[in-house]
Amino acid sequence: MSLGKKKIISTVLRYAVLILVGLPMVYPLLWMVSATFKSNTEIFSGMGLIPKTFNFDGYKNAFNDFGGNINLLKAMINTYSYVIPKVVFTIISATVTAYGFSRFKFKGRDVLFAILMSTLFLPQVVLNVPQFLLFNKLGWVDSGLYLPLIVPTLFAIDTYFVFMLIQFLRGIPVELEEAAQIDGCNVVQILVKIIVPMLKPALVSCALFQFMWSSNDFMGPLLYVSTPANYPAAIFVKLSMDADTGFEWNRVLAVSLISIIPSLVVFFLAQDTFVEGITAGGVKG
Amino acid sequence: MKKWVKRNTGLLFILPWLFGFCVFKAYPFLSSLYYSFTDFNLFKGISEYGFMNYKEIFTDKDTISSLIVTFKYAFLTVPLKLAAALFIAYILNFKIKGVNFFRTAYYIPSILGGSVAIAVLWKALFRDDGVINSMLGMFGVAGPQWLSDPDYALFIICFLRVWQFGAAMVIFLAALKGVPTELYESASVEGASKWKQFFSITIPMISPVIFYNLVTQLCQAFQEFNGPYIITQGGPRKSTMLISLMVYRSAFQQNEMGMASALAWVMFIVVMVLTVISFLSQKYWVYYSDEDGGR
Repeated sequence: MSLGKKKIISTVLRYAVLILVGLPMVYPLLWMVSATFKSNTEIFSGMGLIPKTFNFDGYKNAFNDFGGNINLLKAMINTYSYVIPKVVFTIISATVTAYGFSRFKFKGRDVLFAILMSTLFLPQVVLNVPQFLLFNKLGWVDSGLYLPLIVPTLFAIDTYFVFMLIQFLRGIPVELEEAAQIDGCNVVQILVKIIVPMLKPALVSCALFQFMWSSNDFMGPLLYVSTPANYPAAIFVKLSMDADTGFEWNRVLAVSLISIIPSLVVFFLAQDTFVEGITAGGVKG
Repeated sequence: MKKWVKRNTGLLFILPWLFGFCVFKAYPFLSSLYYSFTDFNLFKGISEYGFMNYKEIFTDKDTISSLIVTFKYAFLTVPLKLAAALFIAYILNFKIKGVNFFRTAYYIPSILGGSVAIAVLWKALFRDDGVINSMLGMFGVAGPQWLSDPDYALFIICFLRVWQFGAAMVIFLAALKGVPTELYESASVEGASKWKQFFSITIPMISPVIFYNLVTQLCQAFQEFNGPYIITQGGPRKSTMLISLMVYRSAFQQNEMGMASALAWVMFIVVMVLTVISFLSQKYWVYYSDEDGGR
């Protein structure tokens, strides 16, 4: 076989593999979209992606109240009423912490840094019980303000983001900061005027990841939110599935799909930042 | 005073983290260890101290089977996920047209996969009359009852995680781009096959990243909760009852805080041992280029 022929064959093979593996990645999502437009009798009658007749009952019913003073729209507003504060607080607290660790020497820094890094591997499950008892004692559980979900982010509790920013700061030369110091800037001014602008790409990807993870978070609201009026989308979707299994799958799937639309929109707007962010944490260092 | 501040500016910056660490991590960590040696019940308090929770964990057949299920889950999910991620990244690293399109398609599941919505979708796909079975039906195969047969349910839960290999893939892809092409060129000149090059150049060069992915995926796998909780509730016949579900059940449904803490600690120790083993194993297979003795 000639070299040229061999090359063509291997190229074709590569595309074949990419498409073959790609199908199970994409098909479930496409099917989900199409199922929301199908009638309940059609949903489980085949694997086709195009509905025989477009049926909008799923969407109409998705916004119905189903008792308990909660509906999909309200649940989504609830979700973002703690997701957005979480994102903002995480960025601020993680930046301050990363700055302190990567730009200053002080007694005990190395020990504290080792502690910080080890919490990267600390499973949340070990902390759940005492954290719950603590928040319960403080009267924060089901308080309606989502304090157990929000307050910890004020203290850079998600180590992953601190780690990501420290990695990023390592790659930024300190000369600019030294020059600013000579010009009379104090440490806070340096942080705000020099570090933050340079960190911007990393901060954006931290914000995006925190946004996705917090919107997806199910365990947190499961433990700390029990008044139906305060349910976020994650709980609402789960309950609407439990309530209707077997009957109204187009509604259940429409509810599910609508609940992830904000995440999808954010993802498509900021795809490249995601990819950069995820590799920044993994490869450098 | 001023001098102290100057010498400890960094400490002032990390003070919020330090406070958060003490209150939200160190204190819960240690108190759950303490609770694990008690029979702490949320309503009845503590009346007994000792090793009884641990004794029960290692003698009760439900907890033993849950440990086994958790190991099965992790040891199936992590290698499959890493293999898929590396394989696809390797192919995407050839000059592929439309690489961004493929990358997006592979990446979306790992962004959305953790959500309740996707767990609901999984339940619809793998129903007895679901899409997967109608697909199999087209080939004349009668599909099993994926979610109500204890032999299959765990695989479906695993598959949900493996399906989310995109994030690991993106990390691999970046690492593959960093392997110097001269290495491949000289190997080709010497007549090494693509296969051989993959194992003797690619794998060693990206081994730090393989290691990073391995450790993070292991930590995640042992904590899996959403999938089994939403899709199978630990069933059928406890075949998907992962440890995290047991912890949740004893703490927040049975109010047995002591038992839940002990279960969580058993899991923590398992994860820690595996992480330490991974770290120690590094010297046998992970290659750090800047450790090369500075040639």
